[in-house]
Amino acid sequence: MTKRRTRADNYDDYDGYYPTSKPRKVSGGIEAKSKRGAFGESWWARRWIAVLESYGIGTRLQRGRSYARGGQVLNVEVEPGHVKAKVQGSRPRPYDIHIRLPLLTSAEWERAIDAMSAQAIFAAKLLADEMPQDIEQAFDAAKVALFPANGSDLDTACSCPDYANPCKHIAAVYYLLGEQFDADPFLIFKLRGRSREQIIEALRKRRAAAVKSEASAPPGGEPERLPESVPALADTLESFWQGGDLSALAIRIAAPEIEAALLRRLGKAPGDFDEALRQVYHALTQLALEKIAGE
Amino acid sequence: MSNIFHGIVGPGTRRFFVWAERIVEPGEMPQKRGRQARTPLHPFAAPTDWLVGWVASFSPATRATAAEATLWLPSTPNAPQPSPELQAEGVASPDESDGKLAFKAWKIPGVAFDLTEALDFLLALPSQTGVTPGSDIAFWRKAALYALELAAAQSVLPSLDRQDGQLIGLWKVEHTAHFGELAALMPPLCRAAVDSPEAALPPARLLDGFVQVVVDGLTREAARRLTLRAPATPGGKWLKALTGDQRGVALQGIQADRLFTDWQTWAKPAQVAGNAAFKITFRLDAPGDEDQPWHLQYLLQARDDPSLIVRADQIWRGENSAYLQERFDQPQERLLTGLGYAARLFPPIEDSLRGVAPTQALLRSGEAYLFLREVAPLLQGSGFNVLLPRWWAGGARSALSARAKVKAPKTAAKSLLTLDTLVNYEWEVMLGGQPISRQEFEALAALKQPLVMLRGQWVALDERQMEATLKFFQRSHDQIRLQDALQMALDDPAAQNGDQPVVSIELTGWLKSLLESLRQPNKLDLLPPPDSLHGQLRPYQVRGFSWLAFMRRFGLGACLADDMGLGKTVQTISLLLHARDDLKVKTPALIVCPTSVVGNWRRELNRFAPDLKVMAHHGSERETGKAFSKQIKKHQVVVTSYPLLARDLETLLDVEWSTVILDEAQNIKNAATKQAQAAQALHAASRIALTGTPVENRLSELWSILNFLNPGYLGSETQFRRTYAGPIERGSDEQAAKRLRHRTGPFILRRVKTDKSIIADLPEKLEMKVYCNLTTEQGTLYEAVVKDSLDSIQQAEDEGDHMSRRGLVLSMLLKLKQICNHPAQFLKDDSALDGRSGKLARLKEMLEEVYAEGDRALVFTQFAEMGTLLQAYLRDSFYDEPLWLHGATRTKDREAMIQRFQAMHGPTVFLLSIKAGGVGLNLTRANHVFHFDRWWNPAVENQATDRAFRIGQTRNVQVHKFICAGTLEEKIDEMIESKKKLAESIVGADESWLTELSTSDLRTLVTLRAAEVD
Repeated sequence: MTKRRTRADNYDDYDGYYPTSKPRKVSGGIEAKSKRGAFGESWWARRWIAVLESYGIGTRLQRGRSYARGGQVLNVEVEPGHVKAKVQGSRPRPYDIHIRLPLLTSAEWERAIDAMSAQAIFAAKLLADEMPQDIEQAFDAAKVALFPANGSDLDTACSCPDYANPCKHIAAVYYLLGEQFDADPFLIFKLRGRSREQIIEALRKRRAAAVKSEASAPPGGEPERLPESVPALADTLESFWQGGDLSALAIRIAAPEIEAALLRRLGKAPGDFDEALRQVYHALTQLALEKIAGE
Repeated sequence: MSNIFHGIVGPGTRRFFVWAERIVEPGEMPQKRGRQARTPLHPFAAPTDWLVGWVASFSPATRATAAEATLWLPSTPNAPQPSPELQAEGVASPDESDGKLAFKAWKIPGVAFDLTEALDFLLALPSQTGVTPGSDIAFWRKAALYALELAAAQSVLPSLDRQDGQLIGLWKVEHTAHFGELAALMPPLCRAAVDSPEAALPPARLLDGFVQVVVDGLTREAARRLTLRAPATPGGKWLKALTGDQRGVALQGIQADRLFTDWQTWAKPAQVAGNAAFKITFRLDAPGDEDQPWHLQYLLQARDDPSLIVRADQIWRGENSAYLQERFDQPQERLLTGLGYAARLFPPIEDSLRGVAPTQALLRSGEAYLFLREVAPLLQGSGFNVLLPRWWAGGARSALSARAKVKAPKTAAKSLLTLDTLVNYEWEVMLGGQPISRQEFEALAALKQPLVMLRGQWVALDERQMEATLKFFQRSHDQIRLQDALQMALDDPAAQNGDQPVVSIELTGWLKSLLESLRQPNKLDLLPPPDSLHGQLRPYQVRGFSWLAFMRRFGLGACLADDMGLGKTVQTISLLLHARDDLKVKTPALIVCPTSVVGNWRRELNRFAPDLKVMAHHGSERETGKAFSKQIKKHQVVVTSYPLLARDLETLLDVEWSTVILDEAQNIKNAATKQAQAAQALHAASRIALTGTPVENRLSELWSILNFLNPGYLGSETQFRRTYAGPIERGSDEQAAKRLRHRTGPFILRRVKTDKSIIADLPEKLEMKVYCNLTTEQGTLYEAVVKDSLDSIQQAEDEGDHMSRRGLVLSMLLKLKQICNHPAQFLKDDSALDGRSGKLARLKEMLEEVYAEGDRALVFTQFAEMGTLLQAYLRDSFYDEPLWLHGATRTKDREAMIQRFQAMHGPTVFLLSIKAGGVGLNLTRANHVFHFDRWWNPAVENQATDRAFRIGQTRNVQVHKFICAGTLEEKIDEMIESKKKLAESIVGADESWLTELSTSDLRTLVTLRAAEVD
């Protein structure tokens, strides 16, 4: 691991022998969702962060988390092989951070996509914003490493005066990236050189090829009808006053079989107020039942 | 006369605009003026004032304010086309000579209120008379119900939107299949509030806008009931915007952006189950035998055509790709995404995705059961489509049922039977519709499999139900109350729920015939009318009386709900005589009726059963406590009023009544009132309710009456509101209505005068005297006038001044008649009218029935000022505009009124002064004639009556002559009746003959019998 130093003349961000300085307050920075404890909910986010934590940089990790939670990270951009970010430290000018990761070769990608296409679950889970648990095995079998194995796979740089690398600013960005991966597993692929569209397209092609080679199933009927279009108001002179038979539509006002099913389906809502939502949902059903009963 | 009211979303997207078309008097139509405004005023829209008052009359919480809208309506060059509903009221459609129909803009006055209030407004819409909803209102009402359906099902997602750079919090609805169906039913009228016809929005957009705002409003209303803590975090600010009055989220810049992206990511799965065209569908297919796996197939199903199904293998192969791409772009990825989400809910789906192109999951029976029971509802809740085997319909619960075979007790004394009597029964258990023996059942239970095959059919077993059923077997002989047995027999088994198996019942022996008689009262054995009855019963009255006796025998409360005029009174009196003569009942009966008809009951009892000893518990001289107990020993029937029932309840509770009869039983419609609770508390061996209103359509009334008749039969009021009244009245739930009819039908006998069998039994003209009581105010005024006048008359007589005596007599008669009509007519003080006149109270009660039946009535009075008072009073009471024809009416208007009344959907009430309207008119639309006050010459009255009873009359006509009991009105009536011939010779066309009476005869004539006053 190399650390390129840009400015070594100032040590006020240095963690060690000198008292630490406070970073400047930032408004509108990216605040981490995690407010305490570990970062990243999903296994793949943790897998990513484990690499950072393997450096053994001690208190810088802790400070990096505080930076991430405090909104000191101003911007993060993920590009193939390269993450660019800006972090506000104690100096007026935010520091520039770069994290570089080698791209997978085309041959590696082919092998990886072959491995993924063997099981629909990989595509299904990825599309459902989830990294399949056993995708690493699939990559391993294809002799492709999706996640960096350790620090030596990464090249990190920060414009801060701290000689240590990774510094707390890099750590902060790293933590935030973990959270981004939580929401969008395709981001790791992007970092490794393939966009979401490219991967989906490649998987689709492999799937079609696989199905075509299977014995053909009974052909399906071609659907024929087209949806009706809405007439212009001017063409409704004859039917203007008449609607359809409303009694044909049976409305049933009843409590759902499962309370707050949307929350169960979507998981924890952003904003951290699931308990309040559950209460609102329950009260809403009650209100609707009261309204229909005329209470 | 009926105004047609309309509603439309606008102006803007958050207001609801209500307006009405009204019937314009001929000549009232504004003439075409020289210069026309660019957008002319709609010529027959109801004024804003009227609308404000009307909305406030049934939905006082609606904050309706004056507003104006521009609507494009089909029009001739001069006028908009009236709606079909208005045309049904007799308003002619513009004919071809007025020019061709084309869309034209009209400025329309009306009221508007916040769209969030539209739901309450639309649900509160009364089924009241006088105002008819247009097709647009009917549509929005349905849309409101749909919104309520979504709200109850919690199909709403906390959401964010950006408006003018500002982040706002709102609740977004997730539509169901009902949305597309409903949008297709929207009348074009709903789209007409636009600047130009081209700008009209498609129905789906309008409906979506309406539903989104209404459900968002409902959710906020629900949230307001809670105490929610909103921290100062971005999430807390969003929660505040979702639940408070301000929709804006107090976040700026990157924080706002971040919350927005987070929300987008989170809410994305809400769209994974499909789109407007297709839904991802899971179909569970059962195997042919127990050793085979179950198949859970992956499909796409078209939303608008359930028969259109695309299988997963077709999608993987890319078949129909052009067609699908257009409606369901990227079908493979969509299906994969959906499966990816579904896999989180059900591991076997995840396992199935190990293949390259999965088309189904194979399930073991335990997994299939888990899917049926828990996963399927979850998937459905997530928007997926789930197709389940037909035998599952209703779930595992409906598979098991138990049937109780009830044996009729061999008791000879069936008359002692009450609903509380215990009867024996035996259980028989059915599984999947087949009877099953105890051994078979225990063998199945031992398998501990939730899905088993029984004689070639799959059956789902619910563990808790299995346990409950084993218990049934263990106590195979049991007893239940007759009420529960009957209730179960009359119930729809599908309505049950809970852990118990569905229970049905089979009655044997005479209980079976009891049930059949309850279901078909027409097949009852008829009883001979009591010998002691003075008068004839018409055939349908014999049936009614026999039914009352039958119900009494089995201790069942009965509601006789015949139409007004069919003789509920005489049928009831027959029952009282039957109880006394044939059943040797010794204890007295109690009749409770409105104050205004206490006198009427006494007179009817006296007429039909002169040997029944009747006591009116009424008036200020009534006895209470011990004195009452003593008095009652000498009487067989007590008549009292609802107010006194509540006031003297303690006295009335001391008596064990043989029968309690509630006349005009709608008086206990509000169960919370004192009189309803008092009625409930009375000790009675049998109970009867009489009402002429169509009680089955007024559900809170129905509950209250049936709860009086057969306490507990319909459950608690809250239960009833939630299971029946609400869904039926506000949700138009046909199934619930059917169940309720099934359940209540046996306790209500209702014949209407238009029944063929009834018409044949009825005379063409039915004359009835309606005795009304004076109110205390009327009584006091009456007595004061009598005393003053008689003193002056005596003085004039003493002085030999015949001219002034004659004047004084006539003036006294006039004053007394005015007081009998209404104190306000006598006092001429413009005071409030309600609660001050017995006649007016009675007229309102009877007209309620007229309105409820869709009948029409003529109301005659001899006083122009009374007619005017009545017109105003009826207008306010019924929200209708009664016609009023009197001496000052212009000939032209007179003709128009007659035409309007004779039209198919003309006004319900026509008020006429007897002088102006008594002759020459042909008003055969009316089938009721009311004489609010009496004209002392029967010939004049009859002539007036004949306005309705003329050639062209196709129905029976009922004539109601109002008489104030105990006043000169009654005495004069008696005189006319007893000396009809004589009367016709002495009674001239006016009242001058009365002036010839001696002062002492006059005194007898006018003196008030105190017992008739409240």
